[in-house]
Amino acid sequence: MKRAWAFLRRFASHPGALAGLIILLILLGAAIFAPSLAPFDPADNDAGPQLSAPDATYWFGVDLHGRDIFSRVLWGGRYSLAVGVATICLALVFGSGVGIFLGFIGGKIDAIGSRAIDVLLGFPAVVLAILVVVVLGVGLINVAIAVALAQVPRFARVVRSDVLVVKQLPFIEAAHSLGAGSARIMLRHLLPNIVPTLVVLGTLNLGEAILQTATLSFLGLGAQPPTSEWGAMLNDGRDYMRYAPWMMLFPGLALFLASMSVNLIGDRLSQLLDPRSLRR
Amino acid sequence: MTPRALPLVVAIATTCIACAEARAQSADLTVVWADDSNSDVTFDPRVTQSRHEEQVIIQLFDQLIYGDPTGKLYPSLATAWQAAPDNRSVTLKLRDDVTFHDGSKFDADAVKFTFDTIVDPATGSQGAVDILGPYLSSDIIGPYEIRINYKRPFPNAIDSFTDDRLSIVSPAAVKKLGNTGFAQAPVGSGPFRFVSWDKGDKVTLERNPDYKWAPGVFQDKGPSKVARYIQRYIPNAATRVAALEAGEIQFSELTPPLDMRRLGQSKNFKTMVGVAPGVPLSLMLNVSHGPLQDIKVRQAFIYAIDRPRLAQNLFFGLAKASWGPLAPTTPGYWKGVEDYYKFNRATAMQLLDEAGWKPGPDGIREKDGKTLQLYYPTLLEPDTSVAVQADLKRVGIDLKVEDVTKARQDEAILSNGYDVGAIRWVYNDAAVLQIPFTTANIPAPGKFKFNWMRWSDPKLDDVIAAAGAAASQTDRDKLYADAQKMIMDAAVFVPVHDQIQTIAYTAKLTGIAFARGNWQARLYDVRPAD
Amino acid sequence: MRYALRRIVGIVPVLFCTWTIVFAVMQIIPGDPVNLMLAGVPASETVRANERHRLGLDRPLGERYVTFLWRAAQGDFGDSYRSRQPVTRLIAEQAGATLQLAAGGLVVAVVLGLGLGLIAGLKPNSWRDTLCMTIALAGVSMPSFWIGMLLIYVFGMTLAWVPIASSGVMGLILPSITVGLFIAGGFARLVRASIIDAMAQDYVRTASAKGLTRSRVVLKHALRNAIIPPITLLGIQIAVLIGGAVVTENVFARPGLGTMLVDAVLNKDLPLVQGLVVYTTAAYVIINLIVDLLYGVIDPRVRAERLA
Repeated sequence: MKRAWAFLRRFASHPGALAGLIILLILLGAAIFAPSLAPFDPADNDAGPQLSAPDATYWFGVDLHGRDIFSRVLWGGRYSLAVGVATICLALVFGSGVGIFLGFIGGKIDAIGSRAIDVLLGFPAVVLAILVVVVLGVGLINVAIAVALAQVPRFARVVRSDVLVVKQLPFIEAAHSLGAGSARIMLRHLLPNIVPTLVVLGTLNLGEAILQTATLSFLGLGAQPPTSEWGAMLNDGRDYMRYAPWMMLFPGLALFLASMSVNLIGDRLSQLLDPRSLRR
Repeated sequence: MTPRALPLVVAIATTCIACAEARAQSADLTVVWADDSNSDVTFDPRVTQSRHEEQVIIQLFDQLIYGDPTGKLYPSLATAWQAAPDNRSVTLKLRDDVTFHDGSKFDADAVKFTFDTIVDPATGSQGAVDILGPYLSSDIIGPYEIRINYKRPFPNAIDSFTDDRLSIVSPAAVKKLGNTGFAQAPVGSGPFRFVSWDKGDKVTLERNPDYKWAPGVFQDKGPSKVARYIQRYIPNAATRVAALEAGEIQFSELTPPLDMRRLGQSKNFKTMVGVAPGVPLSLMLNVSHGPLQDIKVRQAFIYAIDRPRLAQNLFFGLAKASWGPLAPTTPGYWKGVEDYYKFNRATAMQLLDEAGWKPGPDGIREKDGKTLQLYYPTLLEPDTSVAVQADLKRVGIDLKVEDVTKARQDEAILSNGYDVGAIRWVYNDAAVLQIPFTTANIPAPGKFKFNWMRWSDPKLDDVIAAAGAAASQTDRDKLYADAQKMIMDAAVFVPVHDQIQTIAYTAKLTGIAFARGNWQARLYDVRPAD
Repeated sequence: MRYALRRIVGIVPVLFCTWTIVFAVMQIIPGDPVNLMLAGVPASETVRANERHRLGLDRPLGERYVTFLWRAAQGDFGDSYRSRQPVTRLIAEQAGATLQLAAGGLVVAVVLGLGLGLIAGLKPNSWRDTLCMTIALAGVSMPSFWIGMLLIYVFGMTLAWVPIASSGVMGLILPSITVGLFIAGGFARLVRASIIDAMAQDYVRTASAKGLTRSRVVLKHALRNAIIPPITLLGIQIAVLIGGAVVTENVFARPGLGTMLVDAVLNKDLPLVQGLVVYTTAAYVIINLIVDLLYGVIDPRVRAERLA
């Protein structure tokens, strides 16, 4: 408990990280308490005069269908943030699995697998995700799967290099010669060494995962009406930029703040946890 | 030179300069039209099924008869026509002074060639073959006289000749280039001739200097004042509007309603709106499974949607709500549809109660443990779907909208995995009703057709068939009115709003005219506004 | 040289793998290309059957796979199902727009990234450092479609400084900034870190002690070595850009290979997808190769290592 508290204080001593943490907590709070905080039903198309500018009643203005944008942004946090987190968890699990497998197995399979990963990294992640969505169908759940799969290559690559490093460590060989089975070695020695990397990687990629989810919804492949996911809201606002720029201003701002706060936190975490970090 | 002659000389000089100016202006008047699509594949009128391709075709080709947007007929390539009393043939006298862009002469042979090749499967006609009806053959009576024969009475024949898909093509060109080549480099007899096509970017046409056979409705029958017509493909509406305002293009089609309002108020631009005949943007209710099998649920569905408000909100007064399967500008439109299913939320809710659907905890209705959820995969008009969805939610119907890829939609349609589908169809005549409403057009695996309601009413099939073969216009109108009434009574079809073509253009030009159908525009008569 | 050749030969198995994956995936994707091509037109069964036969879609799977590989190896990717034009020509036509955007993005990324990174790295932990790094982080955190729309709104619509719909150089400004901002962010951070690393090296301190001015130290010694990791990152991201920036193309309504690929996938236009995948993979591999070779030029130690 004391160590955790000390860690938190070290973490918060960096003003950027502190700001990021506060912003993220605000966004999370807004999302979780959206049902109570939102003044209007996000799908209510009679909430206000269509395309009207922000004012005292409608803090973020009203969209084409007469829906209150502030309420929609609050509720949107639930989708954009939750899907982002789910995506990272999925990518962590699959990516680590692949990375560990390749790192351990070595040889020809590893060579081919690494090449495949390199090739996949050469594709814009968006395209990979679109491919998956075309096969699975549209919708937020499928987008989560798609973005997770698009993130797997980079997780796999990092985990694999970690495994290769750990494999060489003397105590692994010692454990091996003492008769411990491979699986055992993995679990007992490998994972603790990898966890810091995974935490850092997960946090650093969370921002991107949130943005990629929003991108797919922006392209019309993700959240379906009337879900007020932030990327989908930006797509709605596109045709009315000249007449109602608030339709795209606020959801985009929310996305930006979410991503930025997560990145600030991730940066600080990597400074504290990852010995191989390039940052000072 | 005497002093008295000076004013005269000045006057003549000034006039000459003005003339030269005017001629210079029209010598290089280039107009650029921005089109909403960029997936044109053919400009062969015999093959096309795309309203975008038709925009180019209309400038390049002439028809036998010219029909203006109100349906009035004028001689074009044909100077006179007479239908036989049994409606199984039409005799036409043709102009003798028309040449195609490649120099070959227009005559009865060209008409016969055009029609014969339309019905030939090798040509692959996707639209013209249906317009041509029960075509049998053509008899050449003289070099400029021809009789068109039909397998059965076809009272619509004369009207069909005004369709741009029955434009007359140059047989010499088709024979020389082959069908594929002709599609990429078409040759007609129209006021413009083809120059080049940069795929996905633009099509360039130039004035046909020999043109002197403009249809009777135009004052000046000579070559167009427009020297070059360029059709640029700009699929993004905002980009089109920006290009129009920047002066890069002169005409923009499918301009968004708010921009239409703004540009219309500016003195630098003018706007024009055309209501397309045919089937308005509508929803089709699948009666083969699910809650929609019950007519009360279907009626509730229609009563629940506030269509005038939807049209006003989404189109800002430019498009109106629709009430029947035909748009009001379609010949044969029955005004009686306007009395059906006027918006009434209370009636909708009452109908659902009567049908046994009671409101559940979240407001969505339930019956026998199932929720009233309807699946609606769509490609068209996401904003309309959202508005409909919101109205339905108020009465307790959960419309699950999915903006899907075309592949998904096709899959859903063929495998009957949907409850609601959307349709719209631009068509000049009430005969369009056979496309969504006949039994023969119910989709099945391997057979992609448009009766997505999967509704079969043999009596309606008979009425539509009879209307197609009816002898007189009055009979036709009466039969089509019956058909519309039957469709409305069955509550299988939810018309939502008119389809509109919204053109914004520079106020420096005038003379643009809608072609029949209020969708494509003829630019033959365009000239500088003074 | 031998090293380069070895790397080039290494491309072949990669391509083979990619092609097989593309072929397999296209079979899985739902949708019939013929139906998609005829786009909901009431075409008869005969017309559809004829099309299928013409495209060779009625042959057995194995035969199609082998034909596909054989032709691909010769550089013949056939004609696009949808537009019936040779795939190579379609790609060549659109490549220009994509490469223009990639170049514009590269310029913005390098100028902005280098600038921010240098200012931050030369005075670490100062207010300059914090400001630059915050800007860099913001660049990485902004959704590209949002920044694109904001730029259009402010500079295109409200101020009208830049045209919205031009295909010339002026029309390239806003999309380049949109695309370059993201890359600049990551690039700046790496530049800063590398500069700090390099400045701390012994030889730099020696040079300083010898009396060389600060800027000479930076330019001559630190930068040369500092630049290597950032260039790797830049290489990867530019390679990805050359594959087409789908979202930016979408927001600015620009044509490009990214949009072409997405459309081809949605239309199950196999020849076009396969051609584009080859192009993207090749571009990625070639750029990585160039970056690698650049290492050898910049850092003599690496060169020596390779010859050994």
